[in-house]
Amino acid sequence: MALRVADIRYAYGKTVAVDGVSFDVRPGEIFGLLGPNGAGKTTTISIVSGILPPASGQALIFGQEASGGSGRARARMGVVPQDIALYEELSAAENLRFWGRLYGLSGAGLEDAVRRSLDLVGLADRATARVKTYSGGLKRRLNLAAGLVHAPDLLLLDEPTVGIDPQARLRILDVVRDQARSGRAVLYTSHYLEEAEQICSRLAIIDHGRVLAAGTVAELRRLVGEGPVVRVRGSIDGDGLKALAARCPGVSFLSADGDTASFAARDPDACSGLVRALFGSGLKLDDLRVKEPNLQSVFLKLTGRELRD
Amino acid sequence: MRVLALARQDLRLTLRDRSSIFWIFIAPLLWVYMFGFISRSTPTRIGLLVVEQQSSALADRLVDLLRAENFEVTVVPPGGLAPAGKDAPPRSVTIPAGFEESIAARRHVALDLKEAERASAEGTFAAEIALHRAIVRLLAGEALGPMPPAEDALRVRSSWAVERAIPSGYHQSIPGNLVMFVLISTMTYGAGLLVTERKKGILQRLATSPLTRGEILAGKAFGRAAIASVQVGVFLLIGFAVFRIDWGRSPVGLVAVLGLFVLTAAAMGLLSGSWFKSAEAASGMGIVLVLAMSALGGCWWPAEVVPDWLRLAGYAFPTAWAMRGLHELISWGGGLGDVLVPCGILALFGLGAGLLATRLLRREV
Repeated sequence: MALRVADIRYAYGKTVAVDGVSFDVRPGEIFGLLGPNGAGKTTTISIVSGILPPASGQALIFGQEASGGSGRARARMGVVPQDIALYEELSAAENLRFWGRLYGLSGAGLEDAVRRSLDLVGLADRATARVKTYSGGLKRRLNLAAGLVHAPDLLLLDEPTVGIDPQARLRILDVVRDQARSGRAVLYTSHYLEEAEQICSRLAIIDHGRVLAAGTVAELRRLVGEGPVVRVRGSIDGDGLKALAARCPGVSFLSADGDTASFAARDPDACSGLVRALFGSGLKLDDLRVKEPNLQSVFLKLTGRELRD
Repeated sequence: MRVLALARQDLRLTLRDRSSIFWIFIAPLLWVYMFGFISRSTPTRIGLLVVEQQSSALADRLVDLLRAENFEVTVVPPGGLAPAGKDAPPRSVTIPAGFEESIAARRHVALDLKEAERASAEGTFAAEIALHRAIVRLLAGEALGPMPPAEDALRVRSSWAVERAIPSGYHQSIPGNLVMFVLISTMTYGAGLLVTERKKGILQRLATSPLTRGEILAGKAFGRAAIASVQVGVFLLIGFAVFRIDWGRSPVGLVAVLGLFVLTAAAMGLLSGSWFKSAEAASGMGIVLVLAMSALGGCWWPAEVVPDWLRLAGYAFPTAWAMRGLHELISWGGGLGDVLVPCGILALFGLGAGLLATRLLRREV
């Protein structure tokens, strides 16, 4: 096992940030931690990477604790933080050389590693440009390269695609997939549902410091059923809609949040019955959509609210 | 090695900043010159009027020997009028008529040294010593033949036994600016760099590397020490090569004072960088603190010229102890034993600032 997280807890003063989180990450897989801002994802990554000591529980990297000690476990791990933790006054290559040296690389080995990392993220032609001249997307790519320069066995990525354009995001996701394909274990946190759905082999949905559900995307989808999900927007009354869903066979009420509400239908027939009931209810609806179940529906079911980007 | 990689990175980042070239390399030269020029004390050469009552080769030889003693000698030839008023040298020596004959005949002869009321006691004392040296060399020359000054077999070094001279000129401005600029380097550039690393999450990223917490903190401290060392090197170089000051007779004492001051300044840079929330605040407040500590610590003017209570207040800051240590060596001819107390107190300042900074940085690493 590349990473084993067992019942970790952490609190900032009286605010509990992580409350009994457990999961495993195997070599070659991308494990996603999915949740809204403030859910406890970054605190979990901080504990795993050894920045924060857990109040209780354990995070083992290849069987060793990350915090303290000789740093052997940390040497096998590459961390890509949410912040662009780079020196703006230095070039991309100078930044990577610096981080490579800290992991014991030197001489020709270091230069090879720097070249390889820049190639991986598509920055070879900008190697000598100062980071302060880079766009947000380029900085994110270099931030990723700095976590890869020493060819780690475990990659911890904390929201690596925040605030960048779709093209840069796709590039980063491709690199992450390639890393997993080459046998590295990847822990990936995000609050982008589609992104997590695209690249994660398994994932855990986390909110208020707790893992609400974990499994493959298919396993998680099954939590809301195989049938379609109906989402309505308008002047809604949560209790009224709950009662309406109860009257429709094969329909379960998922959530009501502000002016939107969601339902899960067992099959297309149940879905048709629900739509008819909605139109017949006299409710003033501005929008009605029928979708395949996705992680958004899962999150809705588990938390009662939507996970917005 | 990894600690050195951190230190080297800090030095590189500081020197990459264009403004640092001015503040580390150019400003010290300008400041030293300006403060040294303003605070220069008495003229470097003491004025001496030599009144010759009768011309003779031996009298001329005595005048040459006095000039070789670095006096500003004004000769009044026989029958000439001695300058009067404020422009007249404050001391005069009269070479009596029959001087040469008296010496040749081994008869007693008296040289009369007079001083004006405005003459300083130190200057007169120096004139007496120089006059004695010139006479001894004159008589030795008569007995043994002339001896070029550079080949003097015997040299006399003098120092003040009771009172200490007040440092002035470059002897004040070089150590004063050294102390001030070293602190400016560490408490503005060094601190600002650390704040930026904290804000950008670089310190936290470092904490995920194989480096131990101790290695990271040591690396950051050495980084600031490297910046301070460059600044000290600049001062040693310009002090030696441009302003020709004597750094004293104790290289070990100098290394001890400068080394401990560099470490103290590094720890203070670390503390400032871990305390302030923005690089601008660290730089802005850093410069205010450094200027205040420099003024109170005797970097701008000698501590000896301020009231006692102010001088005592200055000892609350490391600047005063660094200045005391440097003056002991440079201005007062002291050795290692004379700088042990300043060194010990600098070490305590460094330790205190370092421990506090470590405590604050634990939140990040």
